[in-house]
This record gives sequence, C-alpha cells and structure tokens, in this order.
Amino acid sequence: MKKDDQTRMFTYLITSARGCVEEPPLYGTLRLLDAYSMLLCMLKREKADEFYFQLNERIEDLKNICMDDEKQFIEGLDRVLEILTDHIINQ
Amino acid sequence: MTFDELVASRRSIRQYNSRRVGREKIEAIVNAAIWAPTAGNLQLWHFVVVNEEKNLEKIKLFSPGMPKTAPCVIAICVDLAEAKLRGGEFMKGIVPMDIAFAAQNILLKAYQLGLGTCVVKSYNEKSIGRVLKLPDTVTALMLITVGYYDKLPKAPERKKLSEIIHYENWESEVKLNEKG
Repeated sequence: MKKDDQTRMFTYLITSARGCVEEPPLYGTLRLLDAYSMLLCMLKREKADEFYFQLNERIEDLKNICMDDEKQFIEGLDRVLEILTDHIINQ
Repeated sequence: MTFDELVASRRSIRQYNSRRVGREKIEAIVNAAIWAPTAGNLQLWHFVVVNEEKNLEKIKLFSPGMPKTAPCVIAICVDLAEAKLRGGEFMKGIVPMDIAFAAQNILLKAYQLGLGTCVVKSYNEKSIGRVLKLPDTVTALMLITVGYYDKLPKAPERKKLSEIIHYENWESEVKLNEKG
C-alpha cells in the first residue's frame, strides 16, 4: 500500500471510529462500506479479484440511497451479502 | 425558478464533477449567508473557504462524511468565547441556530447559481480546527461542500403536512387544503 493510501485509510478509520461514538448507527454502516470502496480502490493497482469491483458498483449505488431510503438501503445490503456468500461458497 | 421550485428541488449533492467554483460565486453565496437571521444581530459567523487541492485533501482526511469529489468546502466557524462574552450562556443554544439559518441561505443561493451543496457534520472538530488554523476559541460548526454536479438525485419522500402540522395545540385534528 502506498504511503498516501496508508494516510487516507488509517485517518479515515480512526476519525470514523471517534465519530461513530455520537453519530447515528447507520453512519457506522456507511463508514464500513466506504472503507471497503477505499480499500478496493487502493488494491486496484495490485490486481484484486474482479468480483469485488463488481460488488463495489452495487455498494456505490447503495451509498447514494442510504440517507434517502433506509429500507431499500438495508435490503440492498442484504442482497450484496447474498451475492458475496454465493461467491465464497462457489469458489 | 420560483422560490417554491428552488426550495423543493434542491438536493444534497454527494457526487461532483471536476469544474472549479469561481470566487465570484463563492462570494455571492457567502453574501446570501450573512443576511440570515442572527440573534441580537451578533453575526458571530466566519466562513473559511477551502478550494486548494492540498487543503481539501487534509479536510477530507478528517471528514468521513464528506463527498470525496467535492472541489470546495465552506466551513462555518464561530468564536465560542466571543459568543459567550457577548450573549452569555444563552448563546450556547442559539449559535447552532444562527449557523443553520446561514447554512440554508448558502444551500439555496448555491443551487440558484447552478451549484450543488451538501451539509457535512461528520468530521472531527479538533482536527479540522487545526487544518484550518483556527484560533483555540474558534470552532468549525458546520462544513458545506460546494461544486458543480452532473446529476440531481431524486427527491426523497417527505411526510405529509397532516402528519406534522398542529393547529393551536398538539392534539388538534388537522383538516388541511392538502393536495395529494
């Protein structure tokens, strides 16, 4: 991982950890999804599994609806986990 | 765009394009902010505008809730010591209201100028204070991202007026001239 990426990732995680103490619970979920996307973006240069990039497209869409439609967001997240489970089982 | 259209169609923008925001527009936006109501006409607000890449990057590091592509951030800051000195303890509850009034003007003026905005409160105040080189008594109480966007998100649902309006007292039965 490059030095810039390390700074971005670690600062994001620690700032989020502190923020989550007071922020709405759903923000924590969002931060974890964001961390997924950030890590993936950093891994891109090291040729990660293409499946995770495809999954990220769904996750990006979900992040956009998180604040507007909580029900749809959670259903979408369930679907992402189903897809991930399928992928792991069929590996 | 009429006032009603402006208010109802404004959205929080979390995805910006790379077009930079000119200083003229920023100043028009901040000028709208300072005409917001302010308790006792104290006008305790200061607006720190950040649009240099290097500084934006530092702000984003400590603002997990901030849209990553934002090309400009306005930090609304208040000297809380001055607030207490001029308005006493009472100001503790009032300052956030003043800031919110100013923020709403910013959001609407920016939208009128073709710009998107997003209010950000998920950031570490102390770290942001250091990045912005704020004096010890000054706090960034709200960050607002500003920038051009390609797509306006669809409107989320709003509660019906009949669910949230009460005439005379909380228990009143509401009969509204509500459409839809």
